[in-house]
Amino acid sequence: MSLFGLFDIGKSAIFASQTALNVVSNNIANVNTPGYSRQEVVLEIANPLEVRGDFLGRGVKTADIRRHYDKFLHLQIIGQNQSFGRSYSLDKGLSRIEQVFNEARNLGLLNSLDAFFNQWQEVATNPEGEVQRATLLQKAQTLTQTAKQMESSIVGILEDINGEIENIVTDINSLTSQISDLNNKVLQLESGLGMEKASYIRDQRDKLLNDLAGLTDYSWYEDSNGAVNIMVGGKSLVTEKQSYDLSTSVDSGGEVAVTYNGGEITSFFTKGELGGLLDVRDDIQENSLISLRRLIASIVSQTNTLHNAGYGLDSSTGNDFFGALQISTEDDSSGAYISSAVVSDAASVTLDEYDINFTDASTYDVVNHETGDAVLSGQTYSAGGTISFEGIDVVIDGSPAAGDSFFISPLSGAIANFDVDLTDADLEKIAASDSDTAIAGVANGVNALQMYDLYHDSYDALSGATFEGYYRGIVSNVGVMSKAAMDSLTFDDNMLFELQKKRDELTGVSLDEEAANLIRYQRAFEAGARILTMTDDLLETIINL
Amino acid sequence: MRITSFTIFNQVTRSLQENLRKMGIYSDRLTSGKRINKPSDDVSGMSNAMDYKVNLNEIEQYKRNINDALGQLEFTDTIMSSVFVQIDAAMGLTTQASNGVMTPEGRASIAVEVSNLRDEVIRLSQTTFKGRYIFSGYKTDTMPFDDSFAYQGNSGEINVLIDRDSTMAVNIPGDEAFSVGGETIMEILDNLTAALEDTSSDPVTIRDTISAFLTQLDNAIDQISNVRANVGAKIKRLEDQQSSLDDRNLSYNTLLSNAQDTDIADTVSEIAKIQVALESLRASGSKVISQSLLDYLR
Repeated sequence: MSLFGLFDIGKSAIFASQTALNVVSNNIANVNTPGYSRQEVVLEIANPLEVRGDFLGRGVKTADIRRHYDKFLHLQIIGQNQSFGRSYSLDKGLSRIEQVFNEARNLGLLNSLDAFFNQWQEVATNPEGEVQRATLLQKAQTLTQTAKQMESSIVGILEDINGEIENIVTDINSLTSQISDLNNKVLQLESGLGMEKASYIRDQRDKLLNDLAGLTDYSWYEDSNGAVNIMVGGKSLVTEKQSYDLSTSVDSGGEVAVTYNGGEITSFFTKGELGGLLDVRDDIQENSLISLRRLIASIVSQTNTLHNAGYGLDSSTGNDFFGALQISTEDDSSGAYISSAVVSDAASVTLDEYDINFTDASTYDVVNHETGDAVLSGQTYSAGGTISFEGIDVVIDGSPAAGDSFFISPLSGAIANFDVDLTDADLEKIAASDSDTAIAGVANGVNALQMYDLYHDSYDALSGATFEGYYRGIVSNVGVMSKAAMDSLTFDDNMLFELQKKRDELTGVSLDEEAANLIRYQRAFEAGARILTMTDDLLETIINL
Repeated sequence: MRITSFTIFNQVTRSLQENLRKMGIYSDRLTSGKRINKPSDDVSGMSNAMDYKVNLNEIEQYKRNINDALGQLEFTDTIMSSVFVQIDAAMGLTTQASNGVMTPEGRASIAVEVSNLRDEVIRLSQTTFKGRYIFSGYKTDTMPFDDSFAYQGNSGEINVLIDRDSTMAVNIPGDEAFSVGGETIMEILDNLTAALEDTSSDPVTIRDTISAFLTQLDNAIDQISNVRANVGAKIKRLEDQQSSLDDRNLSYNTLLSNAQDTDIADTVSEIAKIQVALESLRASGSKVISQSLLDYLR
């Protein structure tokens, strides 16, 4: 045991303290870095030396720089981020839709709907009054404009959602490519250093995994080399160093679908912002947009039917009040197309949407788009022949093939074509009378009164509701959906906060703790240096003997 | 439990956010005066409020209809009372003319007066209200009686809604208002004039003929009284309906207010509570966040 051994002990103390101070300082520096996991120096006794049957320590050495990390918590946070992302999208989309139907601020259809039907009473009371008739047309125009504004707001929101879906897919691609890059780094570093050593890269990668979880649901695992592999719906997005991009495609209706390698995988996304956006898009389309269109289509067909039966001041009859209901179609076929689609019998139109599906080149079925119930089945196709069902006539031309499908809807264009057919020059044509005014007299406002009664009647096409009741249903539905989204956002936000708090408890930096460590290692460093000066003194004493 | 700098900071900012959010909601309620500012604030309350609004608009419309109807019926009553006065006058003149000592010259001058009364009744029957003939049934653009006193209108009753399932006719067709025993009042007065102008028949026959008109005029007075009673009953019913609509209007307004309006006192006290919470959070938060062991290391 030589005196020089003391130099080594002192030196090891200085080195160890220096390393510890480095780690502590790095912790302090990263106190506000998101995703940073606190690190800690693990010290251990350097190889003790046997001296006459006893062991003497040979100083200290740093055994490890440990990263505080809990894999289980990390998993939970990723899951929670996925739920949160979904709720966030739902809440954002639905709270915008809610503003379109915000009857609390008198935005929405109720006022103009009410005013339109009440005005028929004014016409009934003053059937020959020009002012009352002109006002009726104005109120009808307000109604059509309001409906159009609402539709364009909803369609605008849907367009934004579609745009956002595209953006998110781009973000997902960017994240997966970054993750694969980090995978590469982890593989390179850890092959030399050993498992879980590349801690700051792992921290970065964990943060990216969390970011990705906010955007989409995915399943993942870390393989034995330390690389993270990510899959969605059985398709790999990241395998070790390689990432695979998602793409988007837009259909004729402007609806964006997510594709992978050419195949559509939209339905696999249920969580994260992407899942939420896809969900909220369906909600808006099926619950708000279609319902609003159905309501307007129903108003058009009921008003027109009754108006056609009445007589104007000029004894004219059979006039439409609103523009007649039109049929929209979409072809999904390479060899055939719909050459015409019209309402043949307005009274029989049920306001349902249909698909004409070809089972082979000459056989087709007509099914209800919503319920899937067969309307016509096993019909034989002849090119240019008229296909008639439930008040609609469709003509298909060309040569269809098995699997071809045609979509028929009286609703799609209902609001776009919602116009008042009568102009200010046609005031006399407003059919207030239920029989020819030349015979019955001009003050017969019987038809106008019946027009008003339409407002209180219930309709099968509206599931047995009145116009106003059905509309109230739409508003309530929007309110309920928005409330549910808001509640689950709050819940998910709280859950995420609690989990992050738990994660912080373990991995977060406490400045107080680090300050204490700073003093501790500073003192150790000073004492180590002291050992060196003391040893030097001792040697000098011996040399000067 | 290990508390880190992040934990404390997050906790404080989150609580601040939470309170500020609540503050936003309550001040929104205060400024808009409404408890429901969007459907999701209270879905069933919103739905009820919409229902109440529809009912209120409807009631408003019925009240407008009733006002129109009252205007026309009260006007009709005035006209009918004028007709009554004419017939009453004719009655007096007829009694005078049926007196045995009346000379043909005297009858002739009475005939002029009666023909004036007849013309006045014709004028009254042609009355328009807001530019419409009120005694022509549905044919409000056609004069009710032609030169030979034949009815040109029809028996159409113009109905207005005074409640959801209740209508009232606001006109009395001329063939009902001016008809007595198959003849119109104008015809009777015209015939009376002719009888008074008769100079060829012998005085007794003339007197008997004129006396016979007394019964007819009496019937006409009964008829006019019946019409006026009918109009009066309608006016009464409209006035009753009006006050019942006023009551309903009030109760729907109360319901609407309860459903959607802000309870000011309640909201103000909520805001005060949040303010207290915010102030104490700021005070304690600033201390907790800024405190560190580093402050004590020199």
